[in-house]
Amino acid sequence: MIRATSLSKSFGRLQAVRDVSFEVTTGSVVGFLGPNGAGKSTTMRMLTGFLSPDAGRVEIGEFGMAEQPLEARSQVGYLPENTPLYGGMRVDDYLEHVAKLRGIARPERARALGRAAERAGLHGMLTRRVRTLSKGYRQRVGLAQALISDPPVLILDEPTSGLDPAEVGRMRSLVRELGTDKTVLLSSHVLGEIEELCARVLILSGGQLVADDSLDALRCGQDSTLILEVRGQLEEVRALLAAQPVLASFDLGPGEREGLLEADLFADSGRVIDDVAVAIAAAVVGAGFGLVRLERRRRTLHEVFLDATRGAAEKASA
Amino acid sequence: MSAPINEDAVNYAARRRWKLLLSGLLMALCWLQLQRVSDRLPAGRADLSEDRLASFSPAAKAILDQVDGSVTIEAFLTTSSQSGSVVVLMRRMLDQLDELERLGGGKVTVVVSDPSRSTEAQTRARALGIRPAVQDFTSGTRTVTEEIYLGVVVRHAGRSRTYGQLLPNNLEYALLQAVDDLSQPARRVLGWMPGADLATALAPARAQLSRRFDVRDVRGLESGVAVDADIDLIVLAGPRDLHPRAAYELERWLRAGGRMAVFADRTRLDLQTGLIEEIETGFGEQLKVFGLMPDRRVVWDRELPSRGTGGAEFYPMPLLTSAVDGAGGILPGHPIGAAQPQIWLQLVHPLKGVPAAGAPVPDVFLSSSDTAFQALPAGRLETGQRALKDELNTLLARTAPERFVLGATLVGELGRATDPVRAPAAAPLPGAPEPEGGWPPLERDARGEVEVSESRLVVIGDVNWLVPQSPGQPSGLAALLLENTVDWLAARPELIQLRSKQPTPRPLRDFEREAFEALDRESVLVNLSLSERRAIERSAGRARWGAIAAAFGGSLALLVGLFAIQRRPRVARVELADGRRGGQA
Amino acid sequence: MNRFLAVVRREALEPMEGAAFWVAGAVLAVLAHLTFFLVGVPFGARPFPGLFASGFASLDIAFAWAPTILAGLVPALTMGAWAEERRSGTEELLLTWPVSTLALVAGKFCGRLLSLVVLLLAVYLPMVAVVRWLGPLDLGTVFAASVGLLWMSAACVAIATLVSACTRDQLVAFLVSTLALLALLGLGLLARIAPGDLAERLWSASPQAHFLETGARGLVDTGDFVHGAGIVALCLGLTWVKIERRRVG
Repeated sequence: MIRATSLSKSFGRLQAVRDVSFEVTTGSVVGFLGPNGAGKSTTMRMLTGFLSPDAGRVEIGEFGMAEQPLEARSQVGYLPENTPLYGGMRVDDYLEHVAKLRGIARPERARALGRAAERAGLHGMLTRRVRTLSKGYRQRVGLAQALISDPPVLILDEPTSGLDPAEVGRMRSLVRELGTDKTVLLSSHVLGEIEELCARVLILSGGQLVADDSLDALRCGQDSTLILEVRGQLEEVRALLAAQPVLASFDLGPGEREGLLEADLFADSGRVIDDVAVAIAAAVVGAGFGLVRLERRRRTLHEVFLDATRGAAEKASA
Repeated sequence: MSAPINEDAVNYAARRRWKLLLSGLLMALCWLQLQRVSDRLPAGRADLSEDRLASFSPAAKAILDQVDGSVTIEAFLTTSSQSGSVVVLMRRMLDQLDELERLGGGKVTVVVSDPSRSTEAQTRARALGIRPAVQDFTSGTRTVTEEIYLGVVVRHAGRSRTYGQLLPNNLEYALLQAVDDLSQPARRVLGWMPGADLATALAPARAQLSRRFDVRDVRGLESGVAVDADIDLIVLAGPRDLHPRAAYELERWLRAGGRMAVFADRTRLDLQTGLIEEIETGFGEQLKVFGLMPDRRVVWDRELPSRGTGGAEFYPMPLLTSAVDGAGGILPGHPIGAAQPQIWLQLVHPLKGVPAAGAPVPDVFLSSSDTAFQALPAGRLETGQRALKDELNTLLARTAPERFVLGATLVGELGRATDPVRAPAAAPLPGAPEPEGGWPPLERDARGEVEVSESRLVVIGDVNWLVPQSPGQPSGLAALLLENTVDWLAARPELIQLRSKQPTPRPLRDFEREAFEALDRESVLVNLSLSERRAIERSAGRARWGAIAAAFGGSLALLVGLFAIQRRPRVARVELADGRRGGQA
Repeated sequence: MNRFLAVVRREALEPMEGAAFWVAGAVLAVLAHLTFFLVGVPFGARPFPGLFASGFASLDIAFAWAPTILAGLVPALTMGAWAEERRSGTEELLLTWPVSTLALVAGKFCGRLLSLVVLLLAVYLPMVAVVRWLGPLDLGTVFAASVGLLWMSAACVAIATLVSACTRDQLVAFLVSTLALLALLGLGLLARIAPGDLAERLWSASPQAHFLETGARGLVDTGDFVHGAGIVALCLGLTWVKIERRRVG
């Protein structure tokens, strides 16, 4: 649904985005991560057509942003960072104005407005002026604005920043709900939020895409480490593990729980991690030890993020 | 995943930047070009003002349509000058000449030459008697002296007329009058008959007429000589004791299709002595038949302006001066009244008489207002301020206001109306004594009938308006009325229309007068006490401030109304999923 | 087209949301009536006293002031057109809605012009009515002058819109466009003292030549329309370039 190909953008001498390519399919929520100044907002602005890229293409559905800008833009609902709105307008006037600009015909306008307002939860606020609303409600107006034409693609730039926990919860459940039939691209600094909502994560750092994979894959990554918990004698287990050809090395010690041993197993390079796991399980059980747990080690998203961005930073400095 | 960078695309933004910059420059260039050619584009122009002062009138078109052959207009203009205002002036001249050329549809050729630049043109201009105006002005820090040429020569049918200096304001009238005059086969002949003692006083009026007519004194009528056959029209200005035979000859000529203007007085005032002298015109009985005889008594109009310019008040001089202005005076529908905001008449005599049955009815173009009085002139008039007031008060006490005819026209077959055909010799014209040897008969055509055709007659019960108040030309208003009169006689409505290009007077409501009338006093300003006059001023002032307040208040009210509409509470136009409409979501 | 009209509607109503519009309206009402009835035109080639002192039922005084009043009023109504969008960041949404830049530029221009016309009508209609009541006002001239004034207002609004698109500060937009419009007025004055050919150029670009000499005297001239439309086309074109350049960054 969204296809970005080799996007680059400079502002003067500063290269904000460098050769970023990715593709997002319909019906998924994709998280967009990166430290401040990594080019997240610039990329989103290019995806929404606000900025045109120096190089590369953006396609929304079947429309190229450069060739058919109006068609492409009409596929996208956009909630920019900080939610800029026309403060002097009444909420319903504002939404109606947006509905007109988004080409919703007069007979459907009232219905579209009602649907968007209900989804965004603008109860009782429709006749208020935008500037009199609280931050949370402003955010809801921004969201209603993005939803009003029911676009297949939603691009939300830090939708939960500055909201109270209840608002954050509401926003998350809404995004989850939207993700079932729409393509949602969501940027956030709150990693927990991304972990909770997104099946897939894009990480930008220094203007480059440093990670693009499913959340699971990222957490396991290329990491070939298994965690083993067994009931047995330390020396016997050590001997058994040392005899396994599939392991490059291991680190065994008493576990946290009484009577259990715990080991980090590092697979021999070139082996498939799942085969290694099968082999180890068979060996442990065959030797008569009690196999309590054997699993791949998962990193937290935090670790993934730090790893990925550190790598990019090192690359940039190198 | 990362696609190879498309080299074309790398430069995309830079190229787009250049494209935008170029298109901006291109727009600016196009605009500059448009500015340069816009003056030469065929321009459409419509004059929506009532007075049509800023465009050529339909009359100009009519005159040009009547012209046979080509008209050449040679303009000697200083087209380049160091003075911006001269350049702007010249632009307006050239614009008007261009418009005239277009209006002529090929008949009119305009040739412009600049004597300031070409010696040849300068020699030609000087040979034609065109002299430059010398003008000093400052250009930057220097004082520059320039010669400005504004001369125009109109040529048609081998004849020409030269204007030494023409300004955009009077260009249309001057040039088209020249075209009209030049297109006549020969100059029209105007018979000039001033009253015996008025020849000198009326010399400026005569000079004015002689610019356009071949003015000839009409003499010898009293000895039985008929009016010259080639005379087109006669102006009888202030006749006094006209010989009966001359009156007879004039009437005969008039009835046979003649065109005549009669400006007649029945009194004359010597300001030095205050003596009022009665006058017999000698033509009164003839005018009486047409219902246009000036009465002996004079009209005094109460509706005199009581405020002069600059706010100074002056006392009206009863019986001496009468202003006849738009309100009661010149009727704007009549061609003679065209463009004539007002005219000053002195000792004006109302026109009386009953037209004979079947005679053409006089068409009034000048009347007094409803508040005019008729007064018998005293033998002697005390011209002192005190005496004038007394005179006025007596008059006001004695007479009732009425509306009087002061000027009228007559057009039609005057001969048939009184039927002089049956017995011209047997029934002498009224008021004329039988001359020795009898009246000569009217000319008869082959069928034995008198040849009659449309006659035209203009009568005004005053001649003093033609006499200039200061040495030189008659006042602009008087000159205009005279031109209108002779053009009406000569049946040249186009020229009258051209001349009517003057701003219509647009006076504001006279709150002083309204306040005065509200006092419901049978008196005029001279009799008001100081407190009454103050009250009038206060009331007028209040009315003025009221008008200002109405305009300002109206604006504020509209703004407040707009504000209220814009801030009105509205129900949200929303339709909810459960079918509820409006209200709050 | 609908989207264009939606932009026009919002831009026409937008100034009215703020207090500045109503303050400007009240100030205009005071100034217009003060100059018209009391002050007159104390400068220029043909000085007038106020209406009652001159004694003629005409709006010449109001017309003579019109270019000066527009120079102050138009920037007040138009300064926010683009500058405020940019400052508050709403531009980021505006330019991502499926509306062409041309429709936005033209819509903003038309909307602001519309709000100006509404304001002028509110202030001047009662004045026309009162003068008509006071004497025989020539309504033909008033109509022609209104048409001429429309072209001139359009040109002024276009210029002020362009200035507003070049800055993110409303105050700067206001000051610069006021100066620009006054400078345009100055062209006509400069033409009186400038040397020959230059004077002609200056004159033909000035509002004096295209309003005071034509519309205010009762003429409806295609030349004035071409002049006004030229300025509008140029300024809107440059605004379009300016906005498109912003996308390029």
